[in-house]
Amino acid sequence: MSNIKREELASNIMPGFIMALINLPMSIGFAFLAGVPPAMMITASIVCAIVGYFLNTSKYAVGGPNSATSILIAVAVTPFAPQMGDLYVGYVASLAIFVGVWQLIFCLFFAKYHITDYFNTDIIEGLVLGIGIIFVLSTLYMVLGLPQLSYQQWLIFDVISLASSTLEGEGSYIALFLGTITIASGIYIRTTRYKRYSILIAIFIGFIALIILESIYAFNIERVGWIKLALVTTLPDFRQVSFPVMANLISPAFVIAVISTLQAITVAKAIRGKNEIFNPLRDIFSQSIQHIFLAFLNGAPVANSINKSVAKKELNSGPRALLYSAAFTVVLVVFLDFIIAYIPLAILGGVLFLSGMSMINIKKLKRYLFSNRKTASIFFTTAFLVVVVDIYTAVTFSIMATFVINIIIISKVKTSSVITNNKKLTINVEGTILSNSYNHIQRQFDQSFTPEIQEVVFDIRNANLHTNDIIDFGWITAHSNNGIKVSFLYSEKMQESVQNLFRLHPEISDFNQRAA
Amino acid sequence: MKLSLAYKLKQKDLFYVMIMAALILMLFFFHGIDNKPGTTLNCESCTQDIGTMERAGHFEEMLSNGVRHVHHSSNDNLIQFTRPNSFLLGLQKKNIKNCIECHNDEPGAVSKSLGELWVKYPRIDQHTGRLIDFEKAIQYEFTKRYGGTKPFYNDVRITEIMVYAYEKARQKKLVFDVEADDGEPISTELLSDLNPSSACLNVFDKLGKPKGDIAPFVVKGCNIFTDTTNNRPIGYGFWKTKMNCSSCHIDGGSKEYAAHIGDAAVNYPGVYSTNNIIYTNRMRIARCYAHSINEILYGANSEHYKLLTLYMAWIAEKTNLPIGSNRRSRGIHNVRGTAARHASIMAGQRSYVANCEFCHGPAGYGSDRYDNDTDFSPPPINGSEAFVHTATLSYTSRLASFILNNMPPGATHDNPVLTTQEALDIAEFIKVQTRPSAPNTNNLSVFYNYLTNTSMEWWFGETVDKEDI
Repeated sequence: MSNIKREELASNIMPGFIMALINLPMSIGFAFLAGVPPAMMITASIVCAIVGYFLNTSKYAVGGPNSATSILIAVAVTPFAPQMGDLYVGYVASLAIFVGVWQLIFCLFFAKYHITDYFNTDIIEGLVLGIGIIFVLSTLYMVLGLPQLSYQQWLIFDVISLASSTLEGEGSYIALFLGTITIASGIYIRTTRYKRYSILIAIFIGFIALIILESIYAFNIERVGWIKLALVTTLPDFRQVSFPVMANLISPAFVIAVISTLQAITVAKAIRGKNEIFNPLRDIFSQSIQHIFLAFLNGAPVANSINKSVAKKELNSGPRALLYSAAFTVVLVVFLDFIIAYIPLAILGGVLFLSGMSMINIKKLKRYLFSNRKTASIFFTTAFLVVVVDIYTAVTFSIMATFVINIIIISKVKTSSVITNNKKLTINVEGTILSNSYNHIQRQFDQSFTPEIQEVVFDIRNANLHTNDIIDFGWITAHSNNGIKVSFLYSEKMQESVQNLFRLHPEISDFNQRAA
Repeated sequence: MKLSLAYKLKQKDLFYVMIMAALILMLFFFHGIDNKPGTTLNCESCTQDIGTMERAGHFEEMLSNGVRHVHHSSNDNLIQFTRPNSFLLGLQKKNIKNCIECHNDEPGAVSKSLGELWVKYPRIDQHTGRLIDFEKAIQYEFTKRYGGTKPFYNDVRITEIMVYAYEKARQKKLVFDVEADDGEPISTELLSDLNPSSACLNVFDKLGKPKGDIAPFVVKGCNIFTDTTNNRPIGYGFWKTKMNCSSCHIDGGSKEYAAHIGDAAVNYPGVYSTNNIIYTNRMRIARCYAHSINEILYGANSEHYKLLTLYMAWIAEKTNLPIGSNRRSRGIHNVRGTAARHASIMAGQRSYVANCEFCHGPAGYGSDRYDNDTDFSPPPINGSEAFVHTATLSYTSRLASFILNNMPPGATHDNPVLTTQEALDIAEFIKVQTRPSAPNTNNLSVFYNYLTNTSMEWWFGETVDKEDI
């Protein structure tokens, strides 16, 4: 019996406790970034842990407040309501519902078409890089002791306003000092073997610095403040007066749903246990249910977190660790509230800055830089568009660009021509023939054709025929009508697709018979 | 083997979901609903304090929250800041006092009521010597009264308390009192040191020189107002626009029927109709920056906003406008009902050439001839340095009214120079010109504007010396 207990302690209770310790400051920080009261994000982490325990496939997947989604919440809702207010909270709840519904729709499509297979790694990582840059820039205000960003203009301008305000002496040098100490110690600890506790140690060092400073100087600084954690039932804002705003939240919800779906897939793919079945559908379903429940339990949109999932795997945690972490979160908030209330936002900003820094991975940048032109351009363009234009444009562009580039690469056919006895022209085609490949074939034909030629053979035995479009064959039918024999050479396997081509293009369907 | 539906949910998943949903339903049933959007809390002392609310909508929501903060400062929403944290002093818990216990209208009140304080801000902070506005003052008060924690500068909970203070001042019909009545008018030397624009000097001739310690700040505010582009904070020099606040708020904001800024100062915080958000004066200025004159937003804590807010309050005080007053000349009106025919772009172009071209330039880009004359800067009405598409003056009928009452210089509401028809035609002509898009609609357009402005100016830029004008 004691063995079982010891095992439970080692594999579930301790990892649960450590995860709660790591999770709590991050949740509070993400709440400030998303512009919602901290209690909302803490609730979100608890609900996610409980629902995730029952529904997740991946043993190590941890859902909860997430950097990317937090910043997206602020970007989506800030133009419509002042942050932290009741109105804002209502809109965030509605946003959570929309995200949940979008993810349910994804589940349906996923089951049928495996739609997320088309989100390539370079797109996902480009998005993560771009959002990481935005995230790091957005945490600067806490470190500088300034009011939060406006999100009403281009982010770069908001950042310039931070620099300008600091130069004008409107920020707080104490905050800057504390934030810098936190960031520096966090970066140092990441190079040591206590890497996984870097956040906790960084907060601790920042806190010690704060206490030393406070014993010397008297100053005011923004702090986290008291968190009143309670079971709160809430209704999303679907009043008639809010409909115009709701309409504006549907597309941001789509992006949040895409991001958290991609995170779920990435976590499920990358951080898998031994012999674990890869089934991202369940993880996505679990997240959609989390979102819908969160909307009614005063929570904010969430995502599976890569960092936290890695931590969970490193801690060798068992299945019940999630439940324990939820319980410990409640215990920590209730019993350590006076310490949490005392933490300055500058230290929290430093911790968030560290978390954002991990999204900007230099090794990954190098890898993409030296990969190939296509992958590198998709990766960097996606990141660039996220920062310079917006996330919606970046997602749309990169998916479209990947499709287009892939189609261009695939539909490049190799052609060659042979003229026998000055009378017979044979054109060999290799590769995948799509509708746009015919122009290439036509060019080959035009270049090799001479007036003496009386017979033309298109040898497509080594090609894959994929044509469902109507194509202009005027360039060859004209010659056929002038008495030149035209025929196609194809293999048995291609019978079906050739018949389909002939059905769509009656003008060439009788070429082979005429030639015979 | 054919692969289909490789990923499936498990049967027990749906079972779990149903169980959890049932639990939440039960929770709703037994626990009730805590947060219902749009509901306001009942509070008897609040109703006694503020009376029956006259306005409906978001202002009312914010006001009811504000009253709650003032009467129950330990409420769930405010506890984050108001519960004292004596972490270093051995966890002694202090009692939470409500704002209303000191700030009230009773005879023996410890301090002035919030309504009376509302009209005293912005003022000089005795400790730092810098300008402090009501928002910042509340922030300091939190830390002073309750301990270490203070809310964000632009936290909505502060705005809610500001809405309450504004409402109290409105009910009492108080007038702004930012200037010391017994102060000495600003000396001529100090005034010339501050390098006031001639528009500011005209304002001071019209309304009297600012008095007391606050006077230099008023002059600075006026300089920003009348020459916004040359009075930015450090680091914004790269941005190109030719619009100033006084491009539309004529005569330093003191002209009636030209969006008199005193009217604005006494009517905010208020609901901004476009997005239904409560705007304070500072937020309204920022809105004007981004959505009207194509200026970059400064940090929320920027002294420039405080100086502008002070200048607006000073104008309101000098014009003797009570808080909440709604004069007929407020803002910019619509022109309606008097035109003989529809507005015509062609006729507008002819009228523009006859009446406007001399100052605003043949293409409407403003005129280079005044570049060195900062005292007179006719704004561009065309091109990427002109006003934004979302500005109030982008609407034909509003712009027509503005032109009728104010253009060409010298025209007034009582003695317009143009006819209504001409004003409508010119407004229609100006409306179809190309101007910057609204911010955040497409950030690439910001890039594009910046690049074209910079390259155009580098290539075609040509200024005339002041003597040659």
